[in-house]
Amino acid sequence: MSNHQFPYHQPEKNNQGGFTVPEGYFEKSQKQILARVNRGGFEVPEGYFNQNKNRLLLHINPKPKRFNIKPIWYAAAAVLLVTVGLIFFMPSTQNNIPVALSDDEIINYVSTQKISDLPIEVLAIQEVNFTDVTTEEIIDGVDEETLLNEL
Amino acid sequence: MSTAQPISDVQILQAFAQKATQHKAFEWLLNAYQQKTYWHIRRMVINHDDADDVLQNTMIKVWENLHQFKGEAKLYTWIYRIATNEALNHLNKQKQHQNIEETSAELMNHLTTTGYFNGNSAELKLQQAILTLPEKQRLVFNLKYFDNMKYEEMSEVLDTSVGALKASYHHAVKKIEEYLTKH
Repeated sequence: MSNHQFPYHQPEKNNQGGFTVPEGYFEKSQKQILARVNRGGFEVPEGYFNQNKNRLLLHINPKPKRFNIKPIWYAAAAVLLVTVGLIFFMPSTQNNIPVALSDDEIINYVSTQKISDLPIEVLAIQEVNFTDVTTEEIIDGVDEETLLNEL
Repeated sequence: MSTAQPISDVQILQAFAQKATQHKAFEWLLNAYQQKTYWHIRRMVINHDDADDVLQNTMIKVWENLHQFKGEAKLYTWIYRIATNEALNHLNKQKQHQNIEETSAELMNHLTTTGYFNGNSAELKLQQAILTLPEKQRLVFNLKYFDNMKYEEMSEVLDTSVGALKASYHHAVKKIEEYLTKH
């Protein structure tokens, strides 16, 4: 019997046009659907609960933390190290590196050092500009009694 | 010899309405419609594993929404409608990574390479011809040719007028004839 001009007969019932399924598929599939329905639609991947147990154990006994530092930070640390090294180990022309001194060392230094040995810059006081003040002006500003006391 | 009557849609729906018999009702529904639904999906997605995934998703949606089924349509056309949407969604996901020709070529490839197809050369050629059709025509052709579904029922499944479905089937048949003549 032809189906109008169509050259193929209507397929017989249960003829799926050549498609097949694995043996026992429909029984297995129905069990899977019913199992999903009984769990309220929720499901977990195969072996999930074993994996989850291991993850829980890891939380209880965590491995030492490993820092994940990006290469840029390694480079920055290297540059910083070289810079600090240069500052400390390069021969310096100025003895202005702060050094911790004990009280005794300071007292000893002050008592033995002559003022004339000190460079003139050390004696200069920034706030006072001597070039603007004449000797007469200084003397005029001091009363006689004070001068006598100083002498 | 068993003379048990097949469970009717009314019995399934009545049992599903009761909490105590809900699971039993769903088992009856699967017995009645799981295989038909699988074949409908399989003819669309071709690959058995894909069809299995789509069937599972379809049946879970049926379970979740069956309480909303009001009985305006037949139960199986309502299930087919869900299955059709799921199958089309699956194909659309495939198309996101491929153009239409690539998708069609891949489906043709699945016919012969992924197993579970033992049709003769005429059946293989017919399936290849069907895969050259646009999706909507493919659906209409499959529902009419393999499921022998009435146009009125098909109209419920595809939400398309009977006239448009008849025209679609006519075009599909013409294209398949052309393909079979050339190959």
